[in-house]
Amino acid sequence: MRRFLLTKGLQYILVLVVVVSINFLLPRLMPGSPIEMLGGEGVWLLSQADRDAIVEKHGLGGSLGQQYVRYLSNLVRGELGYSYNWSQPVSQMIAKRLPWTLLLTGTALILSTTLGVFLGTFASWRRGKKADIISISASMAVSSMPSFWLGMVLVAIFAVQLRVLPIFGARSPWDDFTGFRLVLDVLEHMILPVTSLVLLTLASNFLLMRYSMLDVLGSDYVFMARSKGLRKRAIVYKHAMRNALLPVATAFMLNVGFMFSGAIVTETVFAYPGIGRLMYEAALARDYPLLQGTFLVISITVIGANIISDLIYPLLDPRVRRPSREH
Amino acid sequence: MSTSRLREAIRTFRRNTLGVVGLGILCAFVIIALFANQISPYDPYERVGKPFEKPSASHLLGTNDIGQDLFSEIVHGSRISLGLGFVAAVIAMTIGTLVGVVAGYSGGIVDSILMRITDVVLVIPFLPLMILMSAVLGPSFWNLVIVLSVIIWARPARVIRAQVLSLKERGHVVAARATGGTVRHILFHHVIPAVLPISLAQLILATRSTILIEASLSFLGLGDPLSKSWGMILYYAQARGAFLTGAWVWWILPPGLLITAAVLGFAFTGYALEETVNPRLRRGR
Amino acid sequence: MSEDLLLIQDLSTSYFTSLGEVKAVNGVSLAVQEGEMLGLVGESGCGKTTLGLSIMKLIDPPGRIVSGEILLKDIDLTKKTEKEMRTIRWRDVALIPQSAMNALNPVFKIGQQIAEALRAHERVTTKEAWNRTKQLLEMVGIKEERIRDYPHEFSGGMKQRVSIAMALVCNPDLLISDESTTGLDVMTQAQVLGLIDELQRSLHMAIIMISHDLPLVLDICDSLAIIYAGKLVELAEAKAFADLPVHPYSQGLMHSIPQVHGPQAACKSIPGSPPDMINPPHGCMFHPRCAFAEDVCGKSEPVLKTSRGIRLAACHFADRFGGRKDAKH
Repeated sequence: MRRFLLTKGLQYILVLVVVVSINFLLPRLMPGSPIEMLGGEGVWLLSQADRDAIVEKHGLGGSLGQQYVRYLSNLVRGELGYSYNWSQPVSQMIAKRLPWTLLLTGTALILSTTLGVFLGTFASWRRGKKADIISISASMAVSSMPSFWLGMVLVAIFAVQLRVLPIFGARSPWDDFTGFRLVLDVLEHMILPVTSLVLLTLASNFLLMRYSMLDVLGSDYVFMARSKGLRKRAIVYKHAMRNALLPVATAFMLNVGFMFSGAIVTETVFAYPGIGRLMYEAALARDYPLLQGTFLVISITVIGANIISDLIYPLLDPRVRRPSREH
Repeated sequence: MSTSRLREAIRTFRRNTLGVVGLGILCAFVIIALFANQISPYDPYERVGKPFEKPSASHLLGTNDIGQDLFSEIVHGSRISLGLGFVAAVIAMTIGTLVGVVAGYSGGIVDSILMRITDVVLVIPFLPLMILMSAVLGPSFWNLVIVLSVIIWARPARVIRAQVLSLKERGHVVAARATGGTVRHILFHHVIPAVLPISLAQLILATRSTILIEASLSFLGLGDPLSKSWGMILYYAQARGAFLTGAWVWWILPPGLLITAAVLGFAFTGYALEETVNPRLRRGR
Repeated sequence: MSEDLLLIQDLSTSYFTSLGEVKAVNGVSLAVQEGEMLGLVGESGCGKTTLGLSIMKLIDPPGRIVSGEILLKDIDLTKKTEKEMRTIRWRDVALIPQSAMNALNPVFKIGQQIAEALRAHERVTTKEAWNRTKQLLEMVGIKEERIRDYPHEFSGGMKQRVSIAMALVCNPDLLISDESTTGLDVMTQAQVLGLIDELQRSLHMAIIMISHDLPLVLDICDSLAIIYAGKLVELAEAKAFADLPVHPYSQGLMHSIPQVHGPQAACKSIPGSPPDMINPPHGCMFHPRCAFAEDVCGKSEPVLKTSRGIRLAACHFADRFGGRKDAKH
């Protein structure tokens, strides 16, 4: 168990180092001076004194090594730079937007996994029958669709044509709701984006759970549970599911990264004020400090989520928790 | 691969209905892409009508915001979307196969290092990284190809490595090593030919990802603004608010449906290929 | 006869595959008394496992029990619904499975798995169930504190013991042991068999020991049933059988046991291979491989009959063999 944590821990540290370094190096690899990178296109209008001030402020002077060190020390202090396009510190902008994304992706992850698990279980009982074949085909079709397109179609149908749901945003901008009505408003605005995100990963969760369940249902210990005279409910939900969930738990990690990538696109379609949309806006405006900041925060969040699921997995699988000791 | 084995493989593949359907879809798209000029009624770059025209006899899918024929745009879009996707997938697979073969065959430290790198690439959220890279590199066909291949190679690399690991213990490889074959000989005459079928299957499956991601990147405005890729068409559709009007039916639906169809085609073909290829390798020669 | 614990009358269980009907168990009748240890012997695929599973009605599609009766304490199990079987299973008849390696759920503690079997059939508190589990573990020679361990923390032999403990938890009258020592090394095999033997005697349970290993069965069983191609070909007391196997197949089996003591001779295996169960031979199932086969063997099926008043064997010429002493002893 300790060994498992150690290897995983080292790996994540490595990823962090790579992420931070990419963040540092990438913009600096561009042709042109780093000042353009930081100040945007209006930079050539500045005087030399102003330019020097910028260089000083962002630590662009000195060798690459010195810059790196300065960059790291800034990071540790939470200093992510300053966005010229929006005239705000990057960390402030991110702090305002990150919670919305977490709300969206967190809800979508839970829904997608839960739905996938239950649908997959039901499908495994009806193997080969119509419901099974239909759901597999539907899964393949949905996972082949571009998620942003699906989002746009959903908006066009439900928000524009049918007018049942709001078109964009996290909450109604002109109404001033508080308390319970605010919660309802937020929920209403969440429905379409969350649906879009859930559909992104539902197919793979469903297929994985179905396959896993079929595998487990044919196992010897499930047969034993039957011969012991246990009730069907106990056999399926207790014995079979616990084991079938293990591969799904592993896949959960991969889904987190995928979900955040999907969130960028979904937030753009729905004009949802999350960090994904922020990154998109930054990319459009070529605002590099903001771009780097959002990339870093998103990567760290994904890594964090991975670490959490890595910690949870041993709780589910005793073989990892307690490696065997032979007598 | 000898002709008899090839024929056997084709026979197995033919039995897989989904695979045949997938291949059919792919062929249809290839034809559309190749004969785009003949199929589309207009030059997609020319303004041939009023902006935002509804579908009619002269414009099957209406026109976009600057008066270009949407149908022609979409037909031409197949070239970029599929072409870019495929090229990126080929490059990604070349990298992935090389890494997988070297890692699997060498073992030891080389393997560990390569696998650590692969794992890092797999953990980093791909779209944010691609956005960052695209923003830095700028929008163009080849930049997109680079951005895509730099990430997509990782997953196939693991699959190939697993295959090579099992091949190392296989009869003919062990025999070649025992009789003193050079590493080069073994790699080129035994390992790589054995790995090629799986590489092909992974290539087809990887194209699914490249097509979808290219569409996303273009949609976000990071693609070549002058290209007519399906993702780009959708970018303009969204930027001009097409989904707020009835225009969504003919502007937004078709490109998305085509993307879905193409990806499904690659998925069916890829999975069928995998099935065709795997049992044979498992049985050994 | 209501003295029999288990009475199987003319049982037939078939698997209906796309290639045809496989008659895995074909008109088998036998009886087991209380406290008797019956060995069910035959080659792989002869139907002995199917017979064992049929008793517990654990045959899944595409297989099903086609005809016959299974009377356990005078109750016909073939007429019971799945729901009714659930109460009967484990309480009256339990199974020690073929691969204990995989028969235990890897994510639950062994104590939980044993206790749940008890709780499914009797109203006991958690504490009572746990205590009984500890008792059983002690009985099979496993330290009580291991009740909280997971299956992967045990060796193969110990997992087998856990399976035995689990099978005993509801005090069944009949135990079916399906090849329960296959896959274990010889030493562990001996230990596990010794345990089963001991438990059977102290708890006075009836056991059907399914095995392809004839010497093993001869060693600890009271009586033997030889199965060939889904048919019961001989039924005898173990000692009597060892002295004098009647059916040609049984003779072949005895001859193929390698000799540890006495003059070294080459093992004689039975020529040929088991019949195609979808297109079985006419007449006697064994006749294509039988050294003593004559015309009548290919035409009519022999019935299980008493030969010389001592034995039940399904051979047209049972009487001929019934007096001969074979070269073994």
